[in-house]
Amino acid sequence: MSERYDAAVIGGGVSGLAAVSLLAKAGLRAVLLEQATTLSGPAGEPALRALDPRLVKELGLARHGLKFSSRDLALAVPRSGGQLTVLSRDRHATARSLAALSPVDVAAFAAFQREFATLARALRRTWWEGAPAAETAARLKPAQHDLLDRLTVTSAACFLAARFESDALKAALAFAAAACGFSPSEPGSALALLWSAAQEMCGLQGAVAVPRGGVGGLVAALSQAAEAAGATLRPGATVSRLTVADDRLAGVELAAGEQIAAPLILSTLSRRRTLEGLAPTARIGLGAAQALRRPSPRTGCATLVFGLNRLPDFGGGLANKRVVIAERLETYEIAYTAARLGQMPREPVLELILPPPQAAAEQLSSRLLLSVSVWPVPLGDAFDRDALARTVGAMIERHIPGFAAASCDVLPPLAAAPSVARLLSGAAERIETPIPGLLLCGDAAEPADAISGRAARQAARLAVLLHRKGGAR
Amino acid sequence: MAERYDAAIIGAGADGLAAAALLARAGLRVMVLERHGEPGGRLVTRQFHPGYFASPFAAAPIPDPLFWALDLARHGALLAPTAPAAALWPDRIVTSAPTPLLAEAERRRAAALAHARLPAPVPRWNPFARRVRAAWPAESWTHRALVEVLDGQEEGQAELLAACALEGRAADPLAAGSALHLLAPGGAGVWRGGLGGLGAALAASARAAGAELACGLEVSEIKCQSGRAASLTLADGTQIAARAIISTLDLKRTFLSLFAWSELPPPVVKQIGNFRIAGAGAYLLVALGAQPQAKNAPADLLRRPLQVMPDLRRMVEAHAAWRGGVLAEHLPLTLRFESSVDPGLAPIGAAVMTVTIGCVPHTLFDGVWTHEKRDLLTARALAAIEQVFPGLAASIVAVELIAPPDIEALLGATAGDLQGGEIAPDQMFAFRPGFARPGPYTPVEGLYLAGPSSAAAPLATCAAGAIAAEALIADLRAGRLK
Repeated sequence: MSERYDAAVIGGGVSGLAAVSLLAKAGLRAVLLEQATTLSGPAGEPALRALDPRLVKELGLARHGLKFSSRDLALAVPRSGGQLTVLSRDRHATARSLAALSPVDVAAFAAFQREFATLARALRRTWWEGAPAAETAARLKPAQHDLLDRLTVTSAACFLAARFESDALKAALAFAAAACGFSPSEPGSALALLWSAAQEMCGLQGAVAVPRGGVGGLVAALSQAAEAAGATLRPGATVSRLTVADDRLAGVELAAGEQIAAPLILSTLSRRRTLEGLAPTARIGLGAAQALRRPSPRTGCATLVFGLNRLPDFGGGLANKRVVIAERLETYEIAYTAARLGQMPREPVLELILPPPQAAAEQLSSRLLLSVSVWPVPLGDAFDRDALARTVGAMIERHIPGFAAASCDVLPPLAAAPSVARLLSGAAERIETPIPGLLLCGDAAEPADAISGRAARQAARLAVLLHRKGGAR
Repeated sequence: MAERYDAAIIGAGADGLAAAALLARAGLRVMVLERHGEPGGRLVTRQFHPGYFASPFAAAPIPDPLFWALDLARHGALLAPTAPAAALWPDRIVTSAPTPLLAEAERRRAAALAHARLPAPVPRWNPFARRVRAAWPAESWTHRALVEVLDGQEEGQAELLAACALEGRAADPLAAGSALHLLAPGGAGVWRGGLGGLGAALAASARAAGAELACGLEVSEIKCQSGRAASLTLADGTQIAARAIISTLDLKRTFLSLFAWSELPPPVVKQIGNFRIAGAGAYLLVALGAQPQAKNAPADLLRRPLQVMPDLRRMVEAHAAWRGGVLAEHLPLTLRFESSVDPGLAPIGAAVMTVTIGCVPHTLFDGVWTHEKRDLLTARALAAIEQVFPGLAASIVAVELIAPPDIEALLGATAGDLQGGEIAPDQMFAFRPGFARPGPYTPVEGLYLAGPSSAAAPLATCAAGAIAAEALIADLRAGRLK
């Protein structure tokens, strides 16, 4: 006798937990099936850039223990001579800091921020609410529309090169595109800059925040919320395929042979892995199956966690900042070319997340942990942990004198599979699949690669709607 | 002022001559101004060594309707059929097979070309677009990499197709957007008497239609009167007044060298400054005393454009070197033996080889193009060719290198870029040249842009000129040009 549920969620990351909690909260009998024996987020991702604020509110995550050790990391750019240019929310301080880099860019940066913030907010209709892009676009002013049109084909590198003078500033701003998986010289990556400007953390547009305990802290809060809502969490359950009965989605079969009945299934896996790996081919249709045939990604992001015995001399100014180490736009291009060819880049782009002083002090009892994201790295056999640790260690040493790591942990790289088409599509196109009752709710259903839980929220709402319709019949 | 023309055309290249012929046929008084002593622009065939003729710059095909509309066959243009391309390695030869991909690319190119003629507001393919009507037929390739569309081709075919698409250019086949190169074809066919034969036929067609061709006159300035282009100033100070002007120079050359910048709105100057133009092609003209021999070659091998040892990894590395202003170790090479298609181009028993070299920077990282660097480039190219044609070096009679700075000097192409702007998604289709009003129109009233930087130019030869002429005639008839 198999277990019966109203909905099953495949995959237990942030998206899966968010989806199952929302389903359970809406009164559905929901189960989460996770392959690993423990529930955890993507390893090592230290900062959050795009978490859905409404998800936090609806699930009461603050009540369940979600706290932030930093709500708004300022972006810091190392200059030659050991100084820093800091772009923070304080406009006047930013202007003063930028003036040392390039006086021309002070005005250019202010104009860029104004223009982007307004346009980005307008696009939340599509990126947050999931409205079709054409509808959102119809509400824009002609000038905004022309800019948007141009962004969809322009690379972040070309876009920034045309607007700013300082190499360091251009390179630092281009990081926003890299952070959501795009190579800044890829056409359309300028749109990723806009997407990232549309995000909000802790009520601040475009902020980057650090949850206490990293993404692990967020996952813990979500797990608590899911249990409080009455969802069943089953770690250690590997789904082997979807089952169909009477021409309708019936449920899933686990690798152990167990059947779980659920008429609604939400998958956090990619579209390709869900449809090719789990669904019976005959149900997808040949055309859809062919559309899935895309070459697998070649590059990704690695995270290194350095253990420090003592706080390095940050020159007093580095705490509560994220430092992007990228000299010029060409740095990205050279690194991505190498990574695409399957070589370890000699000079990758780094983002150091430096905790605020009190968080650092809290940690110091054991050992201070500093996480560094590295873009880009080749995937597969070409990924060389030791070489990466050496390269990155040396690069940080050059910019932060006195940096001495006691340990270095290299986490497995995450593949980046960005797509401009996803940035241009409404929620329906991202979430729905050719199989009725099967929805996508993971990273692949987000407009860009980032932990946001937004697709999970939209998929859960759709699932609840489908459930009520099915119940009425 | 002596007389006023209906239209003055800057440059007697393919676009300028096609526009002149079409305008003159419509009954307009047309003047074409050419800097060189001969019309033709890049459609030239030169005797670079006694008895040896070569056409260095391969031209994209002319659309059929235009070929017949301009009556080129009657004026002596005759296209000799060439065999499809082949890739050559020391131990094997891969000949191009017709693939569905190439057919699709060709279809999309033709459709995009037809689309470029529409003077209507330009629709865009993406759902954010302001006016969603129909898409540019090829825009869905905008975000694809060449390797991605070539995925699934047979061994050797993918390399051959990539090499053909990137001939004489610099692009990273692994990077998104590079698939667009498949839509912008390189050389096609050999004209009787070389490309110069086509140039002469175009000039004859324009003259027969009644257009005035003035060679040896360089335009130095476009003068505006109350905001509209009104006259041309020649290098010797002569003024030529015209109701409308068509420029067949590239975007930067047209606006940044022919205008006083103060006459243009600052955002336009900035936008034009940001248009990316970078040369990447060099050409090697080689006179051979004997027909070259390759092992196990099919009989028609020399009639085909030959890609020398194409390799995707080397293409990526060559592109990276080009970006850094360095000459790559392994440069992409394409060989054409025009004399095996038209024997009149070389003495009896001898042969002419034109080598197109891709990924050659216009500005070198470590200084100017010296004789040593030219020799190095020539030696690298010839050494690679020697690997596939053993013994060819011994039969070389003469060699001439045309590097990107030479192209800039010869043709007036900014940075020696024959494409008139990088082939990239933000510089193609509706974004080429990227003014608010798409098509041949520019921010300066009465000035039309044909030439390599216009939307149709990468898709076909002569098309940009024809489109500018159509727009000019339409505006004239509607009374918009005084």
